[in-house]
Amino acid sequence: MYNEKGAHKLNVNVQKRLGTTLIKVAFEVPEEGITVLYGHSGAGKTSVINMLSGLITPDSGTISLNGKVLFDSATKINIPTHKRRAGYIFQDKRLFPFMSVRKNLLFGCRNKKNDKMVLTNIAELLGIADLLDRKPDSLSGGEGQRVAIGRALLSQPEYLLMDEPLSSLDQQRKNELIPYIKQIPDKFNVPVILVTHSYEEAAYLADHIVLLDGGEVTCNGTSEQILPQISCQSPLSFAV
Amino acid sequence: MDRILELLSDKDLAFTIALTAKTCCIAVALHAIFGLLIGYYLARKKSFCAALIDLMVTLPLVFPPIGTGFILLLMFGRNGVLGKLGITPEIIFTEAGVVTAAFIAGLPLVVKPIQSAIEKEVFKLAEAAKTLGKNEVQVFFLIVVPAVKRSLGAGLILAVGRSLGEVGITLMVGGNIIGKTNTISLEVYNSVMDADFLRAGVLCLILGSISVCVFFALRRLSAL
Repeated sequence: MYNEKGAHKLNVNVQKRLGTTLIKVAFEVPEEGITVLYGHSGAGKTSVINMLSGLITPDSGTISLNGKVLFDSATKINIPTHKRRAGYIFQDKRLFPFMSVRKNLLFGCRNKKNDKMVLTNIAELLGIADLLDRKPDSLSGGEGQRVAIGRALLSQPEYLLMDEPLSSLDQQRKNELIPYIKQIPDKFNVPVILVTHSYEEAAYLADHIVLLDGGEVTCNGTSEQILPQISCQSPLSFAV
Repeated sequence: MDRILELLSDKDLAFTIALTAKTCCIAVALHAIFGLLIGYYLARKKSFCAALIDLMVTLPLVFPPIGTGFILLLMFGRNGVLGKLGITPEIIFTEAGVVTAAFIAGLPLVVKPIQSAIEKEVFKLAEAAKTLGKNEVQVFFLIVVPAVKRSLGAGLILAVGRSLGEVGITLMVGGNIIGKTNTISLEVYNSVMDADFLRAGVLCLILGSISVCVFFALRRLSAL
């Protein structure tokens, strides 16, 4: 299951047909910091992170993280979602409405011995310590998204997937949440793969950018390399 | 009044009430288990097999109960379809037959609300639970069941009501044998046939009281 090739990298080389759309992506990104999958709506960004999480099975290809093979069609390896340890923050949060914030946070907690201490630490860090006894329905968009981040972090993921976590928030809430996201890789020692179609979000958050268009990777590099090439007015076209 | 007291202390009536209560308890447990499993399966799968199961579960809702009972008699009778294949479950004219009738009559009323309640949103929550390390079984009990518990409660209330009032299927499969398979509903029918309207009235009151108790119990459970 482990190999030396591709250590400390996320290697993705997959193909998947979804209806009439063919997603055929191959990229390699460092297993650290924040990697932004950037592209238009319909470019295949969410499908790619769904394949990384195991929620969608690619038709063919390989996915490996830090040398650990998560999917390989040739050797028929396909680690199921619940064993991948992929924290996933969905665009629509998906908090469990019948549980309190506290129970939501502890739902996937792997550190059962010190769960209360870990919960307190993460809740304070994310500014949700006062919300623990409330139900998800009573939270604002930003609070709900911070609870979703806390819930994913408490499951001690090996990598964190974020699907447009800021898209449903107004500018003020976005400004509040961005610093929390920015500090995740360093504070929790977990690489983040974040999907967005917003140039500003990519510019604020990305250490590394993978540009997707029409189900294919059109560019891949550090944010310093990629951002200057993207036009702010028409973010997905390259400035000539 | 003396006649009513005499009726209430009748041993045959005590048996009938006990049989009905026992049948209801077993049926409600079976409805909860199979209603959840079948409802979840039908909401997830869109195959031919799922369509066939859906048809079989829904049939007692749209087909006359006496007809459903007759089909069961043809299947499970000594010379029935299953009997010729060497499978002879002892359900015809037994207490098991009465429970089977109550189960089949009430099942669609549990399955249908659960099937509709398990919509896209529940599957989305299930996906979130999987990314948090829960397997299929854990997802079913920790996410699906709590998400549909109100629909389950509503379905069980309807199913218990249907089971209590079941006559057609029970008559064919249970046989209405006095002291063996005569439920309260069948005894109401027997009393009317004997022109004993007072007995029929008392039985209706008992039936109504059980229904009200079950209604409030399940309503409370589903609101938890």
